[in-house]
This record gives sequence, C-alpha cells and structure tokens, in this order.
Amino acid sequence: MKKQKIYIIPTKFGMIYIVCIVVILLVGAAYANNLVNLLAFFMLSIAFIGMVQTHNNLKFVRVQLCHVDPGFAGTQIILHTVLENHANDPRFGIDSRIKELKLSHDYENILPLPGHATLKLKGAYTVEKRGQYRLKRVKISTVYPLGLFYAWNWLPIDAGYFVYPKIDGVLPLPPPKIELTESSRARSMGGDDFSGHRKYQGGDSSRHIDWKAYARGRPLMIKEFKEGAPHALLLDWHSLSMADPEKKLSQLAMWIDLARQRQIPYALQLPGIFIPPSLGPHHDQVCLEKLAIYGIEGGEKHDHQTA
Amino acid sequence: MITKPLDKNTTALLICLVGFNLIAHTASIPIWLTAFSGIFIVWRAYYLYKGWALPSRLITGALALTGVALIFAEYKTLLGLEPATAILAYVAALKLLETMSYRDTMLVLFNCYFLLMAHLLGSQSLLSTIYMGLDLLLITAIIFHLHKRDRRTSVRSFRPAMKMLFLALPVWMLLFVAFPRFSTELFRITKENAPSTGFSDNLAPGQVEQLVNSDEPVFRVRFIKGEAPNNLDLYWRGAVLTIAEDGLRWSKRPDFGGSRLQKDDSATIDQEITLEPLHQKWLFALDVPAGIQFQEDGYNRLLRDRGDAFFETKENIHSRLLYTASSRLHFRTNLSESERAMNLQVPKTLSPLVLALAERLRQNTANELELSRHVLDFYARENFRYTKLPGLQRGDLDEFLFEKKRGFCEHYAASYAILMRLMKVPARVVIGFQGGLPNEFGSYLLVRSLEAHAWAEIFVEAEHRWIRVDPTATIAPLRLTLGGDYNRIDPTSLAGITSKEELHRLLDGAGWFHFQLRINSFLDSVTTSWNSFMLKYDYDFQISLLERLGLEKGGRLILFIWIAVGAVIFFIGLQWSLRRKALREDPILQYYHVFCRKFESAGLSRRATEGPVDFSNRLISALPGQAQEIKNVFGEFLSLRYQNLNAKESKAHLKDFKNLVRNFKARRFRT
Repeated sequence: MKKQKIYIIPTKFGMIYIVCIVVILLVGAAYANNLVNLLAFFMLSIAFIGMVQTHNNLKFVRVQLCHVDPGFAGTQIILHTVLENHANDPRFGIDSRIKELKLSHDYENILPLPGHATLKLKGAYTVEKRGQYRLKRVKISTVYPLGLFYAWNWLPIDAGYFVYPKIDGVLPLPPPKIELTESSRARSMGGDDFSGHRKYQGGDSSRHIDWKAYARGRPLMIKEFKEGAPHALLLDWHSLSMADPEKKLSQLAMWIDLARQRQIPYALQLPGIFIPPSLGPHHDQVCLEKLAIYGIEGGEKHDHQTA
Repeated sequence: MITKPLDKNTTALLICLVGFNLIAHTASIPIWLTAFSGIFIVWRAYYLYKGWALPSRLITGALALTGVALIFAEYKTLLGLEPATAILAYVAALKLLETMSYRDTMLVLFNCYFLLMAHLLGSQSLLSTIYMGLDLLLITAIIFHLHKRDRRTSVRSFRPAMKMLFLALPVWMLLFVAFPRFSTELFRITKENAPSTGFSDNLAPGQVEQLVNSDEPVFRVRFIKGEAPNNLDLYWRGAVLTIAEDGLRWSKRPDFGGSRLQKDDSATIDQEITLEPLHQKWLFALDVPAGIQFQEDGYNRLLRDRGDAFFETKENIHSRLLYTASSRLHFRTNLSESERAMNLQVPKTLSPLVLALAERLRQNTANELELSRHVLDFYARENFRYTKLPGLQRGDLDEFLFEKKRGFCEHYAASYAILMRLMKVPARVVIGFQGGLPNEFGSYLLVRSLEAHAWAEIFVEAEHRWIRVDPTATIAPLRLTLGGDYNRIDPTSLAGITSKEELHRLLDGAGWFHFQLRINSFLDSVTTSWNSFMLKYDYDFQISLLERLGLEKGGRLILFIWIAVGAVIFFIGLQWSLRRKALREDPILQYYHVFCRKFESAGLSRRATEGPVDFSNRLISALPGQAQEIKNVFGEFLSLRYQNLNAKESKAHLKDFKNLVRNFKARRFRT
C-alpha cells in the first residue's frame, strides 16, 4: 500500500488548551506548587499522546471505491463510496468530504468504523453544468480523540461520471417515424399497441399491470403490447429551432426522459452523430452521455464544483 | 466540525464531572454559591431524565450577572484566586443550564482543569493527588466520548481514556523530572482572607484550650543532626510573650532585635520541620533555636529573627513550608537594662491580693531558682488542679489564684510569670507545643494541635541564661510523660494513670483507640513522604538530581539531547506498536485479498460492495474453465469465515485455503 501523507494541525480548541497549559504552568511556578505543575505536565503529555492518536486514527483507512450515479444538471447527483479500515482497532469520528461536500452514512454523519470493516457512505449534490466529470480525491479528517488536533489525508479515487443536460423544454414528443429494423426490434422489450391481457406472474414489470382493472376488483393482469409496433421516434437536433444549443440539448434530454418513461424506442440525431433506434437503460445512457459531452472538446474532464 | 447537541450519555457524565469538581470547593466557596450550583446541577439532571424545561437565555444571563455581582459583594473584588475560583465554579454549573453545544462542552471541560488547579493550590495532600487522578480520568473519558460519537454507553470511553493515561505516563514523568523549574524569586502571590488556624499573636485565657481540642497535624519533625532530646525536653518554641497586659493576658513585645545568644557547650540539634499551612507567621523549632533555614531559597528573605530566640515569617504563609532549624538545649545571654526592665514590668491592674501573695512567697531570698520553687510549691500546697475547663467567670488572675484554683497550662504559665516578676525576677511566657507523636512507620515526630502548650522562662543572673520553668510539670506531670493525648479528656478523671497504654485503654476500652492511632500514623507517614517529595522537588533538588545523574549545570544541553533522543525512541515505539497491529491483519482476509487481486490482471477486480458470493458467480461466468478451482477457494473461504469451526479445524482449513490461494493462477480473460 502506498505510503500516504497525513497532515495535522492544532484546532481552535488545541490553541486554547495550550494557553491553559501555559497559565497553569505559570500559576504552578508562582505558588511553587508541584501538584499544579504535575497537572500542567499531565495536560501536556496527553496532548502529545492525543496528537499521535489523532494522526494514527487516519492510518490504514482507505477509500475502496467511489461511484457516482449520473444525473441531470440541476437535480441531485448521488455519490457512493466505501471507507475501509485495515487496522484491527476501530476508528472513530472520521469525517470524509469531497471538496466541501460531507459524505454521510444513513444514520450518523461522523461514525465509528470497526476494525477490518467497511462502511458505505453517501453524498448528494447538484451540478449546474452538464459535462463529464472526474473525482480525483476524497479528504478524510478527524479530531478524535481529544479535539485538540485536526488531521487530514487526501485519498486518491478515480470516479468519472456524466452530468446530463438539464431537463427543460416545452415541445411534445415528435411522432414516430422510423421503421424498426429486425435487430433493433428484437432488443426492444415492448411495443406501443395494446394487444390483450395475460395473468400476472412474479417478476413482471409493475409498469405493465392493468391497475384500472385491478381497481375494479379483477385479479392482477398484465397488459400485453403488440410486438410488431414498428415505429420509433427520431429525436432530431435539426428539428429544433431554438437558437441556444443548450436549450436544444435540454429539449432532447426531456424527450429522452419521456420516451424512457413511456418505453418508446427512439433514435438520436445530433450533428455528426446518429444513434440508431433502440430501447433500454443502456441505450438511454449512451444517448444521454452524448448529450452531456456534446460540444465539449474531447469530453473535457475536470473536478466537479459543488455549491 | 461537530455541531450536534450533546447526547444523553455525555451530558450525564458532564453533570457528574461538574459535581465532582464542585465538591472539592464547597469548603472554600460561599455557601449560597454551593447551593446555587447544586440547584443548577439537579435542574440539568431533571431536564435530562424527567424532561424539565431549561431556562431561557434571558434567565441564564440574569443568573450569570447576579452570580458575579454576589461574588463581588462577597470578596469585594473579582481579582485574586478565591473570587476567580468562585466565578469558575459558578459558570461551570450555570453553563449546564444551556443547551450544550460542542463548544460549550469543551469550554466546561477546560474550566474543570482550572477548578482542579484551584483545588490543588489549596491542598497538596496525597488525597488531593488521588482526587486529581480521578478527576483527570473523568475529564479525559468525557473528551474521548465527546469525539467518539459512539451511540453506545459512555462507560466504554473509560478504557481508551485509561489507556491514554497509561501511555502518557512516561511523558508525564519525564516532564516532571526534567521540565525546568523556576527559582521562586520570580513571582510570589500573597493571599488575603485566608482562614487562620492555631495561635493568634497573643495569649488570652482559653486560647490554648481551644487548640488542644483538635488533633490536626501542625508540623512534622525529623531529627537530622544530633541526638533527639527525650520526651520531657521536647518543647517546641513558637513565640515569646513579654508584655503582660493583665494577669492572664500576654502579648509579644514590639520588634527591636533583642539580645544575642551565645553558644555554650551543649550540642547542636538540627531538625527538618514541615509546617502545615497555618496562614500565619508562626515558625516552630526545638527549644532553643539559633537559626532557621528554608528549603526554598526564595523564602529566606521572609525570615524574621524576633530576638528572644524565636522566629517568624514576615508575611503570612499559605503553603506547606519546609525548613531546617538548628537548636541547642542551652544558650548563654546577657540582659541589658532596658530588657531587664521590660521583663519585670507588671500590669497596673493587679490586685493587692496578688501583690501580697508575691510578698509572702518571697521569704527573704533573692535566689531565682529558690523563688521559683516557692511559687511552684504554692500551687502544690494550695491543691491547684490541671484542667482544660477551669470554668473561670471573670477570667482574671484573682479568680484563678484565690477562688477556682483550677487552670490550664496557659493559666499556670501566666500566673507564674507574674508572680516571678513581682519578686523581681525577669520572667516571660513562651507558647508553642510540647511533646509529639513518634511515627513508627516514618521515623519522624508528628506534632498535633492538641500538643499546644504554654510555659515560662526566668532569667538566672548567675548562669547568664534564661531557664525554662514549666509549672504544668509540677501540677500535672502526666501531661509531659503521657504527651498530648493527655489533653483529650478532662484530667480529673485520670487519677492513677501512669503509662500511655493505660491512657489509651481509658480513652477507649476496646483498644480501638490504639489501633486507630496506628492506622493514623501509617496514613500520616504515607502522606508525609508524599508531601515531602512534592515539597522538595524544586529547582535546587532538580539541579542536584541532574548533577547526581552526571549532568553538570553546564551540561543541560546534553540533557536536552537525551530528552530528545528519548522522545524519538518513544515515538518510534509508539508507531511501531500501532504498525504491528495493522500487520496482524486477519490471515483469512489477508489471503482472500491476495486471491482477489490475482484476477486484476485478467481484468476482473472485486468491487468494494461485492460480497464473496456475487464475486465468485461473476468470476465463474467469466472464467468457466477455472470454475472448479474458484469454487474450491470460495468454499474454503466461506467455511472459514462463516462456519463455526473449532480451533483445530480452522487451522487445517486455513492451511488448505492458503495452499489453494497460493497455487491459483488466473488465466487471461479473452473476449
């Protein structure tokens, strides 16, 4: 494991503590009182030991993984990371941040980390600008055990993620016009045209349940769609008339989001890029990523900025 | 940083801590302050456990101002140790009534350090040292718990706190020994309003009597040179009273640097005396002291030689004092005319009865010793009794000599000196202590308040010296042979007792008293050695210790180099102990990680969130050719980790697991 630098400085309370020690030492000298001297020496010695312990509290703590769920600009983006303690004894009061963002566990923001254990942390933030981002490091810090010293360490991570354009726009989905080829039809999971009911089986998507029928007192039924619905949408950059390319991207992102919700196959046409019609999370991701980096040179990578 | 309000466990500990720190101060802070602080603490406890409301900020603010105003009214100042301590104590308790933030908590904890310091300034006893240890453990545990943010019980924080105290011990000791002490000339702080104990500056009837009701230690003596005198000669001179204000009331003469002492052939006896803080100017030494030398150089400028072979300090002393006194049993001296006149002066208020008595006792002799015998014979003949409770109504000489004929040492010494003066023999009263309790565990003599005594001195022209005459020795010889414990009960019930054992038996039939005395003297010896260590470890002692270690005064640089080297070694040791901990990683996990890493070259790395089952499934689907091998390894791993194996089985499994991992090689993953 690569040796990592842990930095340490006294906190505000550490400074006050030092002043207290000096005062007590002076009083001890003034009254020639050895017990008071002993008290001052005690305070000094635990500060020293505390400094070492604060430093060691960050030792053998690593970030195992950092993974960011992509999201749209202006909405929350969730960051997942896992802290791992390689030492036998537990670590307490470790605070981890990316830039100013505090990562937290579901129930506590500063947490004990048992020996040889991992801890999942989450952080949510919004990014205003679309693009491709990369997180390079996590800062872990602690003041445990005495609160007199603040130690921190930068842990390297490598997490790239996309921020899709902001969902925005007023235009409805364009009418379907592309004939699906055989291969793309095979990939699509369902069509547009309702063809009948069948009985619900475990594992069926809840999206296809006929809730209205269920509400009328009938058993859970699945609406089946005709596989042969042969048309897909073409989400075309050139069909949009807005002057601002960002507006266009936002409109396209909104369409993709709508198509995704309605399970309609679609194709994406950007200047110089054509993504053939298809359906499914992977397709959505590819298209949205294209939107995210559209016009940004070489898919520019930079640390994200959070508010 | 940490912004959440304090959790319940920490608050409970903090309440205990503030209470614990205030207990030590209840004796020295005003009673209303104790009451207020007690109410605040109870209030907070009720808030915590019964859901009472806390007062608004307005009310706590008003309480703070009121408290400070009352403290000012009490002490007339806010500066100085006592008012500052009172404020700290009050603030610590009041702070509990606020919703404690992290910052508040830290400040209260720091405040507790100062409260502890204030307590230690008042007492350096062994008990205080133990108290300090407990207090520091409590503070440290709370600091730990505060930063741990562990929701489990706060008691869990005591172990790491103790561990820290243990780790800090070497550093602590090193600092204590090597941290440069100042020679105390630097600053000295005087203390006002201190409660004073012991004698006041003059002798008034009933004063010694008050003292002998307590067995508080006053000073401890170790004889360091010369032979210790026998019990009957253990007179500890405190002050000489020359001015007779009326028959029984005497006071010190003004300081004018009186007669010098001349050595005679008696041997020097040097004693090392540790005087408890009396908050007065007294210095006691074996009769007759010739000189006093303080342990701490800074105090020597405070020494005042009063001339009549007694010494005082120039200021009240509030701390325990260590000094050596050099005494001889006899000294020669001469009386100047003015001194003779002063030592013959009698109060104008004496009644004709007293004058007539003196005339009658003189019986045409001029020999001082013979005259003295006449007076002592008078006490014996007239059946005078020795008692703590003479029951004098008017409290004058006539009542004592002619009506009650019962009195305590002070009455005898005073009346004796008056009668001698009336017979033209220079005489004076000396007050101090007589006797002392030998400590069998510590080879020193403990002089307690109940050994307080008063006696007289007459000047014998022919011998050129003051001779000690103790009328008590004639009236109650047992007071001298049995020691101060004789004063514990009224002597009228002591008829027929001749030995200490008998006295002890009388004091308590079951022998409990004797036992208690032994326990007390054992505890006292421990306390005393602690105190003397604490007292002696000052600048000079440090230098002499360092010199004994081979470090000359000039060689301090070498010392600091040694300290630096020691610190580095200690630091490395500390790091090493922690490093070893990390290396002692669970061997099963260690090999599991090695195994997982073997797939990295094949482009398959375990995700942090991926458990062994998921990972093995992924591996098997990616590397179907090695499915069996992978299954074996994971099977071993899972049974080692999750099956309840006994020691022998797990050892065998671990061995298999290691071999499997070692021999495994992932084949390149082809797409």
